[in-house]
Amino acid sequence: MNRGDDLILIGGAPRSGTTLLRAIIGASSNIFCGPELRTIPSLCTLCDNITDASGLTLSRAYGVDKNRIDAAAAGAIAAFLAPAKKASGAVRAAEKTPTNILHFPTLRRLFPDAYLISIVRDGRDVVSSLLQMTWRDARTGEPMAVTQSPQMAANLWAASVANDQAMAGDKRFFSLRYEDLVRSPAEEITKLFDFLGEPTPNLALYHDHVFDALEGENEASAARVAEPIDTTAIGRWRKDLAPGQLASVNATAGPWLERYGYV
Amino acid sequence: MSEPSGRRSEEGNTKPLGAGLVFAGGCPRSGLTLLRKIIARHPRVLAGPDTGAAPSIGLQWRNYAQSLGGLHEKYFDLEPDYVAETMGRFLETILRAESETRIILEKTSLNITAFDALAVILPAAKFIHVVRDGRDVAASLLERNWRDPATGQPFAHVSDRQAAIDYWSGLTATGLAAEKKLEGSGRLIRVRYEDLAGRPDSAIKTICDFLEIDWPSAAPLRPPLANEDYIGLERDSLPLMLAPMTSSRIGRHRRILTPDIIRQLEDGGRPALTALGYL
Repeated sequence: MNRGDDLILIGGAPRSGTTLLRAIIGASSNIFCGPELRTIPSLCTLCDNITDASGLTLSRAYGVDKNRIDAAAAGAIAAFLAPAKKASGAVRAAEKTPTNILHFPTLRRLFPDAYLISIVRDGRDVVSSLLQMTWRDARTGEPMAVTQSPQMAANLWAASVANDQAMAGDKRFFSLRYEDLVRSPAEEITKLFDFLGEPTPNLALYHDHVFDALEGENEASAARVAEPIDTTAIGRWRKDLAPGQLASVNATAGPWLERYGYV
Repeated sequence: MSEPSGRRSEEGNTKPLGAGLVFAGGCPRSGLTLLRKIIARHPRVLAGPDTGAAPSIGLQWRNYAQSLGGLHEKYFDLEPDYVAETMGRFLETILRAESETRIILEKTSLNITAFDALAVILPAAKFIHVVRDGRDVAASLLERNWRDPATGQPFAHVSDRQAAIDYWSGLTATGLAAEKKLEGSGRLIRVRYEDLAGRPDSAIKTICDFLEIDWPSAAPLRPPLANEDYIGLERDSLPLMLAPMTSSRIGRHRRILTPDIIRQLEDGGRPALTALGYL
């Protein structure tokens, strides 16, 4: 069984600083951390859907139990990352697709020893940022609902932090705040690499020197992340969100904003 | 982390992915459960109920190849063949238990929508396109009480004549396109419900030849599938499956539908009905 002890999976609500996190982690020569692979959430969904819909049938009629379904999914995820890790010469592979966070409980089941990292940012800032995005659904060509509706955006944030909360207490799970990371980068980066059991690379604090924005062509924040860390995006909701939008966010995600101390 | 490298047989030889896997598909109500009922008696075949795994994984692979192929190749050293093999291994692992050596026949009807994808990710898999007169299929669909779980409303293809024949036509056209794509490969056969129900001995021989197995004349057959072996939508056909084989349902639409309705179905399904020789 692949227990995933050489695997680092990063997630968080989109627009929470996941690209910054991957730039920092990618500064380590021990860790391959490319742009978004974008297959892990769908592979987790496939695994869970097949288990839920047909687990009993597979067990009774085909002699295939849930552990084998999990092993099949874990094998696929590991195989997607293996060539790049090998080519990079790194000993560990990290992958950040923001919506990985929605599958952390599944990923923990698939990879009992993987390192899972979550980043949380004020939901009001996340919604502000999401509403600026021009993302479109690849199938329909229509703008994605989370870029149009404060309520949908807040729902996505709430679902993400609910999973962050669900992982609390897991020994190989690390949660950090975007606001702490940009206000005290040296301290937070050191904690992060301590968690990973890696020496903090000198370049982690200066990730903008090594981060290749072109490599992040499909990441909305790549150009921004290629700049030095600053705190200017904290509290942007105050000027970006209209009162009605803010009310919608509070109505949808209020309890989680409170729980995380943002209100 | 593991890398795909071909499935190892007991002898240590690498078997191509999908060897011994057979996917049957076609429009629902075309005889897929009947096919399973017949083939499941063969001691060398595990003919199981629908799992839905094959179209889910096959279509996900197609989505990756179309939407993410460039990104994967550029930044992750993921060659298209490697991604296909990875997804094929995912599916094969789910359908084949470690100790299972029999041919596995899986017959989710909507496998038909992914035959072309499955043929790529499992290069040694085989396919059976089960077809039935669209007028009989539509008549059978319109007797179903299948409802959309999200809305509680009946699906259009079981409640509206035009939608029923369109559904059959669409899935049949998809199957015919897969037949064309795999033409000459020896990996796909078309089996008619009318042959399965009307001339089972001949149909079974054709299928066994395709699977490169003999129908055992001396060795004991496995016992017939029992009530509890039928799962999910298969149970819609339970009384028929537990009863002796019959050819009485061939051309059933003539007995239960009015000429006007039959004409509507024929008009709606003409290209596929003609292509399959039903008109």
